[in-house]
Amino acid sequence: MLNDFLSALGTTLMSPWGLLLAVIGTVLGVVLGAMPGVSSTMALAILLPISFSMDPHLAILFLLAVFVASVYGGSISAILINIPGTPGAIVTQLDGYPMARSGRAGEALTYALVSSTLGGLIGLLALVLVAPMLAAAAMEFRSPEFTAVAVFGLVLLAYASPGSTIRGMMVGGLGLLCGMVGFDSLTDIPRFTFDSPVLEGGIELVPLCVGLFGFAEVMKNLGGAGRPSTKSVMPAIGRLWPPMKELLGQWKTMLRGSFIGAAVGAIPAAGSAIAVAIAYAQEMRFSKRPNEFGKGVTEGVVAPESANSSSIGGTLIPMMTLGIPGDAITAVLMGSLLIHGLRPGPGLFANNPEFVSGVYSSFFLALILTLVIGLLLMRWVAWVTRIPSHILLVVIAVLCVVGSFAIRNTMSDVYVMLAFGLIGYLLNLFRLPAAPLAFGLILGPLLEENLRRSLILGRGSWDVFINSPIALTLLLMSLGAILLPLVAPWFVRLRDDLRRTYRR
Amino acid sequence: MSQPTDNTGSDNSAQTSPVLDLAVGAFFAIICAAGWSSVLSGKRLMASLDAGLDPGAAFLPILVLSLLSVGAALILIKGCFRFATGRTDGPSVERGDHPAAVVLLLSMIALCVGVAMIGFLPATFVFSAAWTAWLSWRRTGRAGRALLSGLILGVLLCAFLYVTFVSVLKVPIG
Repeated sequence: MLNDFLSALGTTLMSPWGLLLAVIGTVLGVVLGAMPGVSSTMALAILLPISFSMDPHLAILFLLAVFVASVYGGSISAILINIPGTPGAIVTQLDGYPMARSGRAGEALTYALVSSTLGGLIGLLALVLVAPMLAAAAMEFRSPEFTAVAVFGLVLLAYASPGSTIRGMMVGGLGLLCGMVGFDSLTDIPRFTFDSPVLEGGIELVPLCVGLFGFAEVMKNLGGAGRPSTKSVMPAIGRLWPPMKELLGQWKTMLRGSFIGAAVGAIPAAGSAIAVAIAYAQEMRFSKRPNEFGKGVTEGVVAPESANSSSIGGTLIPMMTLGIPGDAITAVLMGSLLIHGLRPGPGLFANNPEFVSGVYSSFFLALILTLVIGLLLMRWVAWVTRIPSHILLVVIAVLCVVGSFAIRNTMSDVYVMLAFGLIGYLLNLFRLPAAPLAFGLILGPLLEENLRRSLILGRGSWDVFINSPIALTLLLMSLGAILLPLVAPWFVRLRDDLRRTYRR
Repeated sequence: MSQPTDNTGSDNSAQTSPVLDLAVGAFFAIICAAGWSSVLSGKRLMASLDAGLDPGAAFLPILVLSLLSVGAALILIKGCFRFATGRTDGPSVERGDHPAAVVLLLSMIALCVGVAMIGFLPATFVFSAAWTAWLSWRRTGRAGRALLSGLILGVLLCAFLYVTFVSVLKVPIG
């Protein structure tokens, strides 16, 4: 494993084009991540089309560099202007901004960068150690198990989305329907095409993601961008490096945050926002001065930043091994792999082990480049946060159009992107999560193919799911996850009644 | 710009307002109606249900549409019930600048039409220059400066697209 990793890393380092792409990806990631309102998902979605013409190894290197660097970039605006660049940086602002206000902006950025790098390395370690084992176990899976995995993934992805679980599942169901558009793979019968040639080829993941995570956000923010702006006051950067003793003294906080991030990130859909919240809360519990949290303590930046970065490795575990995207960002990343003819899942480890090693080495290189470029650009990238949002939104809208067109050089993908931009806007209007729609599109074909194959193998009997212990366990867990929000209020009411009764 | 959400929806409290329930219910009901009309009108698709051991190409669409229809109906009933009983508390439909969003969508459709008529780069120039000029004017109130910023952004963006997509990536938008 180590040999493969070193060999892939050596190949990338020896390739000037590969290195250049990684550097460009890192710079773009830091810059886009630092821009308020541009999430890692949006950054990845609008840059995805640039990777279409690349070799798969170079494409994943470029996209991982953007991904990893944008996660750090998100903390820059959180620390400097109190607006998180990405959802994962929401907690960083709690202590990062007070640190910056007290003249320690440079130190806060360095703490964020160093803890982000260490967290990322631990996330990578978790990926390298856990993914092959999980993939080997998944190699034993047959159709009933894969059906159960798809159901479990969909339920969990909807369950972890904010808001009502049932409504999240309904959006996931809409995603499943989108996955069925076009000709059925087994019988060649058209479904949901409405006699439109645009829909006969099915709905591609990339225009859907660009519409949902890119164009819908532009529609949402455009009104506000046209209003007269009040310029936020950016504190001076000041000294960059904190005393080395203080930096090294944060190792326990970094490790705790990193382990929490990797573990939470590996749960499908839990994502970085949940990981950073848990890491911050845990650090407060461990701290001898919890009252000072929120007023500019170093641990308040180090813990969430290490968790934020380590969750990247965690989210890649279910994507790489089972083909279940860990969150919206990995869903977009999956879109890129599918465009290049690579289907994530256990088969990827068996058929393309060199590509898997390439992912590990690209991830490692992206982390190191983010550290180096982050340090070099620290004083300059702060100015990115001052780019007027209306200019940014116009540029993103145009990139959404060009990016969707570039997939197959056809305007039909642009119309699909616009339709999903509108759907994303409506979902936001109705307080519904958009991410399950992408998850449904990804998991739909996996679910349908394996469900039908299972029933054919079982001669029409559903017993195939009961006879497989893994499938049965996963299906029961899915059922539990569906029923929990329905029965939980009843249990709370019962508990309160019992308490009242005993008090009397 | 608002804080990034990854478009994962807003946190809902336990109860939502009846207006939101009715809007969500109607949204899913419209999708279900379109889905059912497509499935039921497909003769080959419906015939696939009797194709031996394979449950058929219509099996999962019908299953998912049935579940979605039940969900939509329950949300609509809940909304009607809460509306009738006067319980209007809870978060409602998200506020926003909807006219600007609609104008953007329409202008994007116009951009697509314009691409077919005058080409990708000229259409993009008109689109980006017009939007930047209008938004700049709304922010600053200075027409001359807004027009200039629109023209500059339009030229720079087209130059970037030409270099990146036409010259490097060989995407036929030139």
